[in-house]
Amino acid sequence: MSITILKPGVMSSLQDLGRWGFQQFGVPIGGAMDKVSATLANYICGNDENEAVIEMTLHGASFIFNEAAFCAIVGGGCKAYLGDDELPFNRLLWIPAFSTIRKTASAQGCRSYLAVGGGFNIKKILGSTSTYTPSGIGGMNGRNLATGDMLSFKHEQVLQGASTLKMLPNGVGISHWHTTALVEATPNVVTVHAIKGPEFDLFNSTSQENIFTSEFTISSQSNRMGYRLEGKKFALEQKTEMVSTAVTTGIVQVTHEGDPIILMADAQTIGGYPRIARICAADIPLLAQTRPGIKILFKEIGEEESADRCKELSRGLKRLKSGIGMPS
Amino acid sequence: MIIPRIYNIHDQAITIEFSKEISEATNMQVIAMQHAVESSPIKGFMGAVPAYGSLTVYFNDQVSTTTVRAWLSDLSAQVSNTSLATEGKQISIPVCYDPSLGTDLDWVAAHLNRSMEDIVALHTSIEYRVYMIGFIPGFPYMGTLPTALEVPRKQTPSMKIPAGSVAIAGKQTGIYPAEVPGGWQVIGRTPLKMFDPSTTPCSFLNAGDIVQFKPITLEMFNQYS
Repeated sequence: MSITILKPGVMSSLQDLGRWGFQQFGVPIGGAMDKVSATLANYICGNDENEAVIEMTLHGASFIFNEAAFCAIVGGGCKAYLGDDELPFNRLLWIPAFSTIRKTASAQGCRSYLAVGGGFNIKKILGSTSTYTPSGIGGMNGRNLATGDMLSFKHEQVLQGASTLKMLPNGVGISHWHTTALVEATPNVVTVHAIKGPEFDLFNSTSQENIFTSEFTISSQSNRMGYRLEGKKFALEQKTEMVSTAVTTGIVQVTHEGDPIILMADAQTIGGYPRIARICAADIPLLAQTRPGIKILFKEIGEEESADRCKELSRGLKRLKSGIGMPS
Repeated sequence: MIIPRIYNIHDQAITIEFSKEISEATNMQVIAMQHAVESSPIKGFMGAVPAYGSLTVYFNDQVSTTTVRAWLSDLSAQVSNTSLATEGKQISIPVCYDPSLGTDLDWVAAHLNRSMEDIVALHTSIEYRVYMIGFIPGFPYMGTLPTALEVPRKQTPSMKIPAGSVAIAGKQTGIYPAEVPGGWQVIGRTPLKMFDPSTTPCSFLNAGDIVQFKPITLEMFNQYS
């Protein structure tokens, strides 16, 4: 069983939940930008949560199922069509052989995740299938997906309850049940929860006030490594050279020019810029679904509230996992 | 005794910072702490990243921040009471300092008002400590460069620095493992692979290693293929 990429769209790549245990050698954690959506897509297909999924940014991708198979699409940034029929997100789908799925623009979200029943047969590099293009490792030969790439499945997935799918005239099967979208659709101004960063105290008082009261726009110069923000500039109280130390996803660092950058999934392991804030880890999936041009506002919270929000998200995922296949 | 600062950089990553300075003694403490953390890992431990003066540990939702903080605090007290013998490997790295590969060698020589031979002699005159691996996979941050070799970074970073390039900036020297944009001054190139995901470990160098550069001719460089 396999699918073939007809059009790769923008920066489509294979990702899992990250490459762990090699950060001391400078290897980023990487993995899906929105790990909640990637996890849900796998849960719906009955896969292990860490199976490789295709991450697609915004719209434009199309691919063909070479055999009939189960799949699920979770996330945002596009609508999916088979012929003229729109395919729903967050549900188990049965796709007939030789069907082409194409993705068109939608106003909400930024990244969609395709999981297939049984998972893609992708070689793990350093313990992960995640594509990290700067080092050319993981996924499809270390690069983003291209036209003509054929992705085979590990095995055929036998799913209980498949017989209860609602069948459309074109042969597509859709589950009656669906998962809730844990990542909310994007409003005009996205509020993300943030905690004071390790160097917060080194910034001048205007900067300290602006970080939690000003709106920032996500720049078009944003990618899997980081989101550049446009808005108020930041400055240190006194100019100091920082000694490089570990950084990771969610860190808001400020360049010498005073511009903030939020580090995302492919963040480098070590950085030398002062860190004014860090995003609550539970809000990273929301940021991953926020596209360039959208305004964001940082709402200050403490360490404990941040930890509580992460626990709540993890409980929510467990609830959804146990509810898969149940009527909603 | 200085009590290290412990802070979160993520809900599942905590840094223990021994010093904001670059010093060999501090980095030895960091590496000792890394060994301590790795030899008695807590439940949910996902990895430890040494930097110049700090160690960062990653963990999953099997363990709470409070527990990790207490664990780090206890271990650091033990580490500071034990001798900090370095366990790093001694490694010799062949470098071709031909100006065709060390593309900034002439600029560095002119900037420091010395001959290119002097620059090579200075760079190979001492052993360097690998303080940490970062920037990109396999990139070693090494020091401390002889004062006579200190040069600023490039005003405008090069768009492409070839893999294997040996470069200097400030008090540091490093090796680019892959072709990337970069701002350090390139003075030579090694034929060795600094990062290879098919080998174990994937990085040729590790924090705590001691490196000596050995000059080789362009002919010898080409023979390495």
